[in-house]
Amino acid sequence: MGPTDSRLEMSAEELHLLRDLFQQASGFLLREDLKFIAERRLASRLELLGLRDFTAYARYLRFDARGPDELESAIDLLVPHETYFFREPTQLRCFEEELMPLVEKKNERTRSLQLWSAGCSTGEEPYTLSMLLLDRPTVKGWDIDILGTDLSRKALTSARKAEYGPMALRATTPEQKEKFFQPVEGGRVTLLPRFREPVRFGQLNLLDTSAASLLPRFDVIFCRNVLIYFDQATRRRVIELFFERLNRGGYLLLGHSENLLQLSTRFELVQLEGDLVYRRPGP
Amino acid sequence: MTWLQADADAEGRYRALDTLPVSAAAIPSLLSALHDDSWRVRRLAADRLGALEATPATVAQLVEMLGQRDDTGARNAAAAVLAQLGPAVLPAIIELLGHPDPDQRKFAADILGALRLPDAVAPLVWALQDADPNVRTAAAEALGHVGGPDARRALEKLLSSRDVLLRVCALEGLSELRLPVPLPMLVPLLSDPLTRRSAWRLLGHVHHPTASMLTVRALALRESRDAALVSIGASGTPLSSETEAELKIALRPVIDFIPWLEAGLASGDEEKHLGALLVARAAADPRLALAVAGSVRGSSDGEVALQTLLRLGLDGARALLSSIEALADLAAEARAVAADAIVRLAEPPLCDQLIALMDSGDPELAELGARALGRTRARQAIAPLVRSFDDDTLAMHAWRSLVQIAQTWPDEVRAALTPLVGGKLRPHAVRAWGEIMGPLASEVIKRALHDPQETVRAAAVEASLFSPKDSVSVLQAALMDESALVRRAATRTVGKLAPAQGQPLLARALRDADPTVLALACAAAGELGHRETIARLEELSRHVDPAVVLAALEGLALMSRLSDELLLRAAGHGDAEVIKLAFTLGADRPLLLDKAVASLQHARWDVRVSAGRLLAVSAGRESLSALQDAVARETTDGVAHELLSEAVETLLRRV
Repeated sequence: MGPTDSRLEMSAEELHLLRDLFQQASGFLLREDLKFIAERRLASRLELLGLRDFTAYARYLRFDARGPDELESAIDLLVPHETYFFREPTQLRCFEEELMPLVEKKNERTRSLQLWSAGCSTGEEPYTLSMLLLDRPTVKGWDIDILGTDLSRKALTSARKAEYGPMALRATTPEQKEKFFQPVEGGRVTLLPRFREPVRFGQLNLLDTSAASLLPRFDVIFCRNVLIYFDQATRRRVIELFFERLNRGGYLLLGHSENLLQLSTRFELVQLEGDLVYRRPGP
Repeated sequence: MTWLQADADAEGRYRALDTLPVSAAAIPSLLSALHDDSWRVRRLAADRLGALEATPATVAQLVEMLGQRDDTGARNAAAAVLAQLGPAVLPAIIELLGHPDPDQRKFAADILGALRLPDAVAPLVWALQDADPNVRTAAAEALGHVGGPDARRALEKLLSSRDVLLRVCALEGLSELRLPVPLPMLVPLLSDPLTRRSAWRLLGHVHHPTASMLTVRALALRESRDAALVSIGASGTPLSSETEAELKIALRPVIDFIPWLEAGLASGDEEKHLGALLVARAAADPRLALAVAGSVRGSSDGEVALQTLLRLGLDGARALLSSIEALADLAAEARAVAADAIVRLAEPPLCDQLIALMDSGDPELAELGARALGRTRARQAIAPLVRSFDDDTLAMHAWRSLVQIAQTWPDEVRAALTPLVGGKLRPHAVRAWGEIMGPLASEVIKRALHDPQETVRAAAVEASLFSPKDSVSVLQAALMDESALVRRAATRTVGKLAPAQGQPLLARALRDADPTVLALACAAAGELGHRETIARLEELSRHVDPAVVLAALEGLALMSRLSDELLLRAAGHGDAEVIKLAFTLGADRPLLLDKAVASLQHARWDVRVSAGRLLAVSAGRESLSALQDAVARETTDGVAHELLSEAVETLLRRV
């Protein structure tokens, strides 16, 4: 086919049907403004599955034996996994220079650190935390545990593989590349085993409270650019979960465009020099 | 933390108001909430009041609130409510146009503009003579919102007003109404620095060769080119081929054409941005490719941007692919359009860049590379695609792409796939091999059918479709496989066989213990039109699994054997999808009308809509009030409200 290929349109009703399904499964809100992307990204799925329109796709998601897998693939396609090492450097600098001294002081007796990267995608964020902490003299010899969770199994498979292309390294300096990675085939790199060790991964739907109840309590939770894909009610539930999973005095770090306004008043807002972070009240 | 505390209080008031039942009893609380410190609370109260019926007492209180100079929040909120209340407030607002306080007269003009009611035109024309300039301007703006022949005449007259603000309001109003004016009235305003921008915008709606000529000339002049972009954008339509040809000539001597147009593409002004897209499309300069893609914000401009990129051709695609980083940095909407263009423009010279995309490490770009490589039908794409069978996600696209390339390079694709099917088998490699080799794939298919992995066996079953001499025996074996995944693949494949071959296999599938297999078997029976299966489909339409029920009903409908009794039963089913299907399949049968009326109160919005649609096409006038009530009840779901309103309109047109 040539440049005249026709495109499948998604009606308002079909968008609504898919929104219901996605929201129920994962809390992901297929907003009206995502229709444009959904039409394009899901079109290839419809073509592969031999489905005539998005109504048939909605029914396939609900009734076909492969529906749950397909639902996961669809959400995977619609929620961007785009991330890279050392993303949002200002916030990371604030974490290293302002937040970590407070956490270290609080945990000096236990000499342990529990961090959670919620919505870790292909692993760049938890691995970045590992790179920042492992050679930090003040926590040398400490027990450092970094958990990365995501809904996407595909993303987690990549995360565990810890092999990355140039896009993931776009904010990584040559010195950091030299220090933390080793080259593999095809211009790609793999993270050195030492920096992979403290990081573990797990599949988690943030709405699944029973699964989340198995999580330990954390000193710091990173959840950056995840809440934007949820509706208000889901955001409240997720924030409540973070509150419950944080140690008293633990910190929650959100993306720079996110905040807890109208979501929760249980957290304290802490104004650091380089960033605003949220804290669970306590010693 | 003080502000957090204040916010918590406001949140409490907001929630309390939110839980208040929307009824006449709530009006005093809602009116009082219009004075709240929090704009969220005020907005919620305004929305709720706007949805209620306007009583004279409420209107009087709201109008009185407009005069409370010390409470700007309440005044604005009251104006917002009045603008939502419709014709009932018209007399009071027209009266307000004669109030001694110019602020209140201005509020009145603004509200009349928002109401967009034809009866407001005459008072607004009268208000153009108001002593206060702000009231005159508001009246002119309001006329631009209301429209109609009298408003048009008044606005055209204002084009020669001595008051520049009124001239601008008239130009903007006529643009909003998309009402062209005679060129002699407009041309003098095009060169006036104070009216230029609005005048060029209105010129976009003048469909006359002279207007096009003026726009093209203006594009070549630094002082008028931005306004000309707005003019083209305001028209919203692609330029004619003659205008495009003139435009290319006019732009040739413009040295900074690329950076200027890039700035236009990046503009936050929607019309200017659209104008820049249309000019870029006419100019067809591939250097603009990334800026065109990067300017996409959504569906409103996505299609124009895509058409522009397609016009930029192969060089445009090359420009898009010149920097993987730049491509990866595009916003999601922009990236989707760029991907669409790259796939459609894919040709052999892009191979190296597409292979680089596959190796980029970005899953979305890698998938784009794999898809586009198939479209190139290039020999050099074969090796990287075969390599990507190691990646589960890419393998699916690699399979499809290799099948495309095999149409041009069959021997080369076979040679590249041979090592892959000689050793440990992978599902998509088996599928590709089967589709490309046809009957010659027999040996690999048989081997795959004995593979310990169910996914490989399922792939072998699907691939057998391309080897007709093997397919029946493969499917016979597969329908007895212990894995439901394999039996499902077999059942799906049975549906694609010639009816004579499929019939005996289908009988077996229709007795499978697994509901997922049964559902596929019902679908296949309908597609093949096997009348011998009707009794079994009727039996399965009572199955406990709704997926089986759906497929059985559809199968019977395809054979025109869906009885009234089954349809009625389906319309009362516990699963929403089954009810919806019953309403769709039974739209031409009056027996479902009562069920449809009852389902207008169903808990699920999609069932209510489906019931509404049935009534729209088959009910009489007696169902109208039930349908109208259903529309009135849809206060929170905008889509359901709109779809049910459409059903009411359809019914009204029909009866």
